[in-house]
Parts: sequence; structure tokens; C-alpha cells
Amino acid sequence: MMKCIEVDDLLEAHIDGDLAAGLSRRVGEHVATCADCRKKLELALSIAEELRSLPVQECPERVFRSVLKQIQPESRRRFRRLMPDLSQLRPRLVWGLTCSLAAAVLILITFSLYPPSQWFKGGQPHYTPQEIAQAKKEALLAFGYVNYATSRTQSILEEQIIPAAVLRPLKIGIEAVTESIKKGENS
Amino acid sequence: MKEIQFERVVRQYKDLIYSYAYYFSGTREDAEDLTQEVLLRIWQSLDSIRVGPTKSWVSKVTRNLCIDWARRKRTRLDSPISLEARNRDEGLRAPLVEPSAERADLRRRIEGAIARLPEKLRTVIILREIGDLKYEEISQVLDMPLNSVKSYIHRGRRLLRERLRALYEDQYLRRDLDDEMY
Repeated sequence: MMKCIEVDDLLEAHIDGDLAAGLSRRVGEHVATCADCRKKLELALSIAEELRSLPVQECPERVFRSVLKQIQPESRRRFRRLMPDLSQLRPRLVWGLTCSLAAAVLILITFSLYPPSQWFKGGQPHYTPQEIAQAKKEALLAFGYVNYATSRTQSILEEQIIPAAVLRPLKIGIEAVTESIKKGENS
Repeated sequence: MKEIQFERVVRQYKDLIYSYAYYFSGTREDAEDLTQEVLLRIWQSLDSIRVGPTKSWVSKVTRNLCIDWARRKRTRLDSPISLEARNRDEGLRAPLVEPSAERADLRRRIEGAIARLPEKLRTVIILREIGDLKYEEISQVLDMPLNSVKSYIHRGRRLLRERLRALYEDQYLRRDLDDEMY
């Protein structure tokens, strides 16, 4: 039979099931016959239960706000204004913004390389057919990017991030460009 | 993007960090200061870590800063927290569900007993019981073998039992315990 002092050392491990089967059985036998150790076991069980029920403490919002004030204050404010509810928008938002930026850059390049005023001279194409084909290809590619980005993000881009006032003229501009290219090719 | 990663870490782990700091220090005032310190350290470390922050990593940072904080305050890690601080803290306590007076008293005593445990025993108890970390995760946080983690948890609970037994001898608490046991 085990001694009380030995059992006392093993009660927590016994409760957690971390003892070898033989040792656990011997602890159980001792507890069954010793009122003092039984009380200790009951207290150990109560404490284990009480510990498990201790609540996770909710971090006050002011702690986070205080940290935000300390880290890169200016960029942080800009960042928050741009992305009001980041936790919900993040994956689509990042993808959409990336595509939109890429499309915008492509459009700008297209316009700077092939300004509309120089497309035709006296009814005759100023550029070679290869150049026009290349311009058309790039413009359509840019248009495709915008379409793709819009289809991926839809309302998020239009309603929350990029105002319709920016998107709509952009689309109209691209359509006008592609239309002009088509006309130029036909003539 | 660093801001996005930081925001994700904060949303995911701020309660774990704050809970650890609260049960470690024993007061909400200190817990708030410590949580701020940990969050700032995480922000500074985000550039240098290779993989995304894990629960174990966040726990480790929190534990290290709690130990530094205790050293700075020139308090022994296993010394009792000041009664004055705990009393002052009572005014800040705002539990979501108001427990009975007896239950609240018992819980307060248990929280006090946890805050008075030696540092390593306190850490394993907080990580296991409040942080809900697995033995393997605690083993990573403390850089110790799995069996040692289990042993520390058992020793921590045994020490709590010894210390709380004296408290249970108080007539009022003993009656409360008897009601639950039988």
C-alpha cells in the first residue's frame, strides 16, 4: 500500500491520466481507503475545474488604440482611411487594387506611346499597321485587366474603395480608345 | 504588407496576450502596460521573422517581456503581489457575467494564488489553462521537454492546492466547496 505522502505527490498526474496504469490503480486503491487523501483528491479536482473555467480576459480597445498611435502615426491614419474594414475586405481588396493599378499603368503607357492626336494624319495612318496592331493589343489587354479586376471585386471597388466617379470615366475612356483603334484599322 | 499582418496578429492574439499579462501580474493596470509593450515588440519584430507569427511565438514574446517587466519593477517573480494593487484593481474589474459573491471571492483568491506562483509554474499554468496551449506548444515556448512541461503543470496545481487549502479552511469558503462536492 502506498503512503499518503507518495499519493499526495501524484494526485494531479492521476487526475490528468499521466500515470502508468499500475501506478494509477495503486493511487486509486489508496484514495478509496484513506479519507484524508480522498479530501485532497476532491480539492485537486475542484482546483483543476476552477482553473479550466478561468475566463480569457478581453483586451480593452484603448490598449490597441494606444499602440496604433505609437506606430507610424501618419501612414497608419492614411492606411485606415483607405481600408475602413480590413478584416472583411482584405483578400479581394488587395487583389482588386493590384489589378486596377496594373491596368491604370498600362493605360497610361498606351496613351503616352500612342497619343490619339497622332494616330492619323490627313486620313492616312501615321503609324505602320504593326504599330497600330501593337497599340490595339495593349489597349485591349488593359481593358481586359480592368474587366477582370471589376469582375473579381465588383461592388467593393465601385462602392467602397474607388469611387464611381473615377471608374466610370476610365471605362468610357478605354472604350473610346478601342473604338478609335477599330475605326482606324477599318479605314 | 506589415500593417495587415500586424492587424491580423492583434485581432488573433490580443486577448491571449492580455490574459497572460493579467494573470501574470495580477492587476489590470499592469496588464494593459504589458500588453502595449508586447504589441509594440511584435510590430518591431514583424520585419525580421521568417514565417508568420504563431501562438507559440507570441506566447514566448509575451513571457519574455513579462519577466523583464518583473525584473524592472525589482520584484521577485514569486513574491506576493501587493494587496494595495489588487484592491485598486478591483475597481476596474468588469466581468461579462456577474458571478455569485462566493464564486467571485473564490475566483479572486485563485487568481491571487496563481500570481504568487514561482514564475515557471505560473507560466505553464497560464499557458495551459487560460491560453489553452497544447503541451507541445508550451514545450516550444519554454524550450523544455514535454515531460518537464507536464511535471511543471502538476507541480503548479499541487502548489495551488496546498496554498488554497488554507483558504478553504475558512468556514465560509469550506461551505461553498462542500456544496459543490456533495
